[in-house]
Amino acid sequence: MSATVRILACGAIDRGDDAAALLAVRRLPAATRRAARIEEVGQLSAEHLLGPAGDRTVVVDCVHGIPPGSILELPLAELPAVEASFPVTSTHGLSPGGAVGLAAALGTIGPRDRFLGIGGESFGAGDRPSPAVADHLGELVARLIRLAQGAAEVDEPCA
Amino acid sequence: MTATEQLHFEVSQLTRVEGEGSLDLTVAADGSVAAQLRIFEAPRYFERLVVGRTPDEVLDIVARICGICPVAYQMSAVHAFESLFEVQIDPAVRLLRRLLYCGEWIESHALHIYLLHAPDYLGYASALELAADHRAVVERGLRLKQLGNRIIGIVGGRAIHPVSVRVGGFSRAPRRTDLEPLRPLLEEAIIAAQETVSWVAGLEMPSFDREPRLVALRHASEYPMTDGRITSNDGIDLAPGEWGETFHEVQVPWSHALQARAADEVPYLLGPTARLALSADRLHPLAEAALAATGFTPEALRRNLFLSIVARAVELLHAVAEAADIVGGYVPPARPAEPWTPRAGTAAWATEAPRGLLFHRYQVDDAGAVRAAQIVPPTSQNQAAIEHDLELFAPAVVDLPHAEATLRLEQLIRAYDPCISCATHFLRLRVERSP
Repeated sequence: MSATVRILACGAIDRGDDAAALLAVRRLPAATRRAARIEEVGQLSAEHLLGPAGDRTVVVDCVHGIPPGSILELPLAELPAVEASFPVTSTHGLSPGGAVGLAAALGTIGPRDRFLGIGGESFGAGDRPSPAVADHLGELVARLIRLAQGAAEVDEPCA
Repeated sequence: MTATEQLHFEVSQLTRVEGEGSLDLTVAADGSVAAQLRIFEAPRYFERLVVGRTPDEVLDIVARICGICPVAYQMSAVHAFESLFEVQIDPAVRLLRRLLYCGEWIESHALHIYLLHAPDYLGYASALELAADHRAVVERGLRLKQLGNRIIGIVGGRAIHPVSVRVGGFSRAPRRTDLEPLRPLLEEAIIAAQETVSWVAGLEMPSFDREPRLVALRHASEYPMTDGRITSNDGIDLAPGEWGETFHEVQVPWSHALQARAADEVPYLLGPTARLALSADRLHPLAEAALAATGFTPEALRRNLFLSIVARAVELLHAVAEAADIVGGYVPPARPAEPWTPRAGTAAWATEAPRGLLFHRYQVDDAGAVRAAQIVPPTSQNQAAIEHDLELFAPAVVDLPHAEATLRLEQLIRAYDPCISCATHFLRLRVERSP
């Protein structure tokens, strides 16, 4: 049986650039939407990463601290280390890197899982995405399509 | 400790609690202990934010007070408004609200048991460390939490800060087919919750014997959740809107959260331990059997706060079992919400949040707009009991190495499952201006 790609889109639709991931998955073409399992999860938690064995996961989110509109892609397992280089603090839940770290400790993420981010600069309540993010949203969508197709290609021989 | 020595214990940043606070505890040379739970998280002004808003807007706003217990805020508010407007909700809507609340109890209790509290009893500093050695245990906790969130998502419209609760009912009631996928998950979760009860009952927990005053709702026939009377183990008995008849809020200089006191100023304990001690006879049969199998009596749980993890696990099982019953017998309401007409007056109600009694009171004008609000979360009310318990518990640990004693004191606070962010919503600003 072919494994599915799960796309976990993080963010809030009404918080400026934080909507980027949600807008990107909503713009995916129908074929990609049928092939992938798309979940809009708001804030990433470790339980979101308890997917069925064999699934490949792509976490997509807006990232603060890189140039606005720039695209960042890396193995999901590297997110905690990357995040550690930024001043991340929260007393209200695990950060995305913390959630991934907990999932890694549980062995529920693998080497094929990816993180895809777009740099953001404006996160105000009720704001629209900044021009930098709006201008590069197409690039984020294209990268997501490639990642979803990559999963299918990898799984073809096993189908 | 010598007769002339003063000891000071400080936890500058409490960890594995919701929100930002610290502990300052001093043992004087004469042995007297003074504990201050310093809540320095900034005030959040929700009581002002709802002024001028309609009841349905209030339901969306108060849900934002907490990402873990938003349903509780919606439930206390919606019942307050419905009580004032004399809205009779459909029995199916009432069951849906209990299902929604069960979802919140499941995710909140699973979070605290597995990720925040259990590491204390297994010698780990964090859930990450616990997960490395007890993978199956942590995964079981996360799956229970995931199920709770899923229930809230289906009934409430989204898992965090749900949006479907409305005065008179819901904006949309789920169809039977919407709830059907929950059935097999709940059957599995009953087993996981039963395993949780037996697992936590086997943990080695510190001894701590004291006689707390307990306050919780008590319902005529159900385990307390959305309604019932405000009761205590020493005779308090109030309608759910009459909290202010016996209790009041006070401000202490070291906390951004108001504290609460009974009229006699005696601190009181809210939450799973209080509910279970006052309503053990209302537990779901599966939860009652699981509690009996642990060998712990409600009396034993009541006297030692460190056993609160057992009470919380029993309630977790109760919530899963009740959710399974509701889903199994679900018949959608004839219409999602009853019509209602606003009227001026005082809307007040209390429900049982995962952490205990949550009281709301609103002054409403003729048009239905809120003119004043009072929101009294459980952590606010538990603050005085936490400080009192710290003062009682400290003598047993002050002779331990300083770091060990400090850790034990912090563990006592965590046993309360405080949600500091919930507690700091008040508005009591004094602005001094120079002439």
